[in-house]
Amino acid sequence: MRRAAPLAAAISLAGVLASAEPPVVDHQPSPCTVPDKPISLCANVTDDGQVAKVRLYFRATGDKFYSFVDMVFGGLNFCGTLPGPRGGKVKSIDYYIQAVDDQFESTRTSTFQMAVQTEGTCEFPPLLKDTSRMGAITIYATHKDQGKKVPEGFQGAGVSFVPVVRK
Amino acid sequence: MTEQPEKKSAPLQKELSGRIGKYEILRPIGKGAMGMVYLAHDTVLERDVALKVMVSQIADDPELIQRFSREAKAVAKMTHPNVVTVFDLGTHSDGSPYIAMELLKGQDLQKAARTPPPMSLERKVSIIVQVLAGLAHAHQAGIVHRDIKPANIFINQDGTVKIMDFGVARLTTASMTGTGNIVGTADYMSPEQVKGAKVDGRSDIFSVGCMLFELLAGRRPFHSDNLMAIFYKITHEELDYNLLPQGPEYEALRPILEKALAKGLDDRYQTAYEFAVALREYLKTWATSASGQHALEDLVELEPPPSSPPQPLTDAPSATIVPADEGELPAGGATMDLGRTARKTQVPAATAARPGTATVRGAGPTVVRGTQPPTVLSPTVQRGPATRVAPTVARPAPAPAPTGGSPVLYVVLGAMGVALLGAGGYIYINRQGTKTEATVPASTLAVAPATTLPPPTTLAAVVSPPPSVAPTPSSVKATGHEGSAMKAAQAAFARNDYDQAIAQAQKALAQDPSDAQAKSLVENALKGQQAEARFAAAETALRQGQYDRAASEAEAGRAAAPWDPRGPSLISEIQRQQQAARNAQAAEAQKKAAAALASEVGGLLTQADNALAGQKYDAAIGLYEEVLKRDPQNARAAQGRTGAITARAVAQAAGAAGAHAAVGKGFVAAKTQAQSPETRASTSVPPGFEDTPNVTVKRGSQAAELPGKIIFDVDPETVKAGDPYTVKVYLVNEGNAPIQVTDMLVNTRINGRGVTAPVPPQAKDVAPQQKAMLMSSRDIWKEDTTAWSMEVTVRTVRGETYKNQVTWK
Repeated sequence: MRRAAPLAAAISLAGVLASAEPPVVDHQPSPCTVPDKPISLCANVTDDGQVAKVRLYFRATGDKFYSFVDMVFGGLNFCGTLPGPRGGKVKSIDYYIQAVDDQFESTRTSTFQMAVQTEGTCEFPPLLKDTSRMGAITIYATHKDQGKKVPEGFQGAGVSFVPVVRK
Repeated sequence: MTEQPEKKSAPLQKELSGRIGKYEILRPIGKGAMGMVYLAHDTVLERDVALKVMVSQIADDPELIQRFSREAKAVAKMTHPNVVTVFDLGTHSDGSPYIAMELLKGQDLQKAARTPPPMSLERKVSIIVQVLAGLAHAHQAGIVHRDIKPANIFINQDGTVKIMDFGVARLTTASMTGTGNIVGTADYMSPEQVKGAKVDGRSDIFSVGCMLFELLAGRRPFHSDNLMAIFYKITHEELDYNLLPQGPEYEALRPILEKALAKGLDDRYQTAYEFAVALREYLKTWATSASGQHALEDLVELEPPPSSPPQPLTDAPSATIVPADEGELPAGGATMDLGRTARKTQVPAATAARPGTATVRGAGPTVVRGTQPPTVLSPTVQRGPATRVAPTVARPAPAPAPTGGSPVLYVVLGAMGVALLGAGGYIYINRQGTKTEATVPASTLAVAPATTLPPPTTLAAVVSPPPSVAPTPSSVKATGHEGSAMKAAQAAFARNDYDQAIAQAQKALAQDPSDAQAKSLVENALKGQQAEARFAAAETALRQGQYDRAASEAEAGRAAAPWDPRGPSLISEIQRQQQAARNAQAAEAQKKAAAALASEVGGLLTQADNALAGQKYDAAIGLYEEVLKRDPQNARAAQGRTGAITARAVAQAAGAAGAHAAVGKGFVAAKTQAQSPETRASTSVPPGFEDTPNVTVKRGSQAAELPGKIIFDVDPETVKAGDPYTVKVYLVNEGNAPIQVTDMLVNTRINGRGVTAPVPPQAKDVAPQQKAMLMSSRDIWKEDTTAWSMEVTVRTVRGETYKNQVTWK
């Protein structure tokens, strides 16, 4: 939301002044996904002030480090798209959502586990797939040891990976 | 008779030679506890006999001699195919008593049981039944054997079973007990014998039970190396029936054995007859093989039980034996010596028939015919071939014709016929293996007074052999071509050669058209032929796999000729094949059903998954449950069902709230507020256009004239909890110049809390008189939504701002 920050700040000055509570994240976890296909996860994030950032952290279950993608506001909710888990390599994905408001108040959901199942067996719950926003995916690393490549358990095609810059 | 030497040595006795009375001693043939047994020749009757000469120890005790004599006489009066026949009783010059008895060829049961090939189970049981038949007869005569053991059971070469050493054991035991010695083995003693109590026939039953157990298990039931241990076991220890071989046929025998070997007298079979009937019933059930059927056929007549349990042999045993010259039936009837009665007893006039008329036993054909009054037979009977007598006697008649009369009398009279046949029909004595058929002179034929037919509930029930036994004529005539033809007919019948049987019987009928026996045989052989045709049809049907028809034909054949072993055998084979076919069909059907199930389940799962994806929860649950009905272990269906139920619950709860909240509510959009930079400065006027006292510059706004409008499209118009909904935001350009969008800010508020954030517009240029979608966002309507609104602000390159709001209200 960096690009829109001046506009937001201009519009909701009163809200900024009044913001004292962390964002509220309302997310219906998805118990499963299918291999080799991206999945879009959405959450309703509200705040008494301005929601500054919403991120979707994820990793293949068993991996050491989490990565994240930004969740973008679409007008009703924030959605983020995960790259497709590699079939046969990833049995499940751990993920959680973290939201930060402009007062740096932060909210983190529980960690959810999403099973990777063959297509046809994973139909519940109905996924909110916002395909219109499943374009290019940018993944951000959270630790320098993650290197410069997309985590091994996920498809790398069409996915940008942003490593942690060594200082 | 022969005798097997006992292991324990008897008092030594010098072998005899020369003559003892009328008997010429030929050679010793055995040595037993009681003394020596010799092959001897009766120089008067010109026959070989077994001569048992008792030890001189007995001769020293007058009381024992008296008892021995009395009991030997009692035994001698017994005539039964399963009891060795005693011919004579006498005393040697040295005072030793002796017994002359029939000479048997074969071996005792002790040896027979150890001689290969092993006996079949049916044969073993059959032997025991024959022993019991002999004992039943003896017990009715008031004689208790007291030393029943395999060594005292003789198996003739023709298979007939004979009980030996009747009454001797009592003598021996009495003699030996005083010195503390036990003669022979104690393994077969009854508990009452061990305790020294008085014994009756039930003691023999116990001993027979021991023998049966040994035959089955291959070991004596109470055996031990220590005599006292044997006694203790017999009197106290429960028998280990697990020593019996495994199998249902042995399991079925167990209750019979348990009853026979009951330590308590009252718990035991009360009569040998009861015991024998139980075994015969067992054979009927289990003896399905040909040998088993033969075993049944081999069974001798079972005599009816006494009216009360046998009493211990007292000092007056003859009290239970019909006096030789009594002319009336003994009291109770059932305790009489049937064989003797048959010879000596005169039938009351009320039941007597004219001499010379046919005597009918049971409901059968003619048994014995003759013209002479009853006569004692044995002394005048010549040697005949060693052939069993009883089985032919025992066979039933096919068509009962009951009349009135005393049941006891019927039993007696029926048995009289048996005895008469045994005496007058064929009497066979073995002599050194030489067999000569005896032709019994007419004067020696026993003539039974005519009797009335016994009701089937008495005699028939008692003496009728199992239904599987062929209803062959119950006896054979002794002389002439007619008899020869009948013998051939019977032999043919016995081997199920019905054509030959009919031919031979017809020969007999040609000589004596009134021969009811021959007629009966023809009748039965015709039934046999019918049965053969049925069996052939059954076999054909069986080959064609028509099992029901085969079973029907075989059953019809068996019904026509129940004695024919091919019937049960064929039925059994049909059942086996039918079951095998059923099993194969079942396996094939199971295979097909499994394939069909897999296909069906697959289809149902696909439907269920699709239904769930379409949020048709009830349908999905129903489909998953259908799968689970067919395949309860289907994990995918179980998981899908659980998920669908949960989803439905969530949806229903949300739907209820949403429906409640949605009543009268919809999405209402406001009017677009447009603002341009000029509009914002409209409160001021350009320089030079300020108001003057005379002139008031009119201030106006062009904002309303801006061409852009924001419109909302919410789908569906009415929302429910749990339902997805989509909000699309459009910018309409009503002007003549394009509108270029720079950015868009969306403020969405739900229940008083909201989020304000920029949303990248999907379209940046909106052509004149066109509309463009700037945003499309989708979400699930929350069940707790009470207030909802969305405000969209769009800014253009020209600095114009368009703002609009849609509210759910």
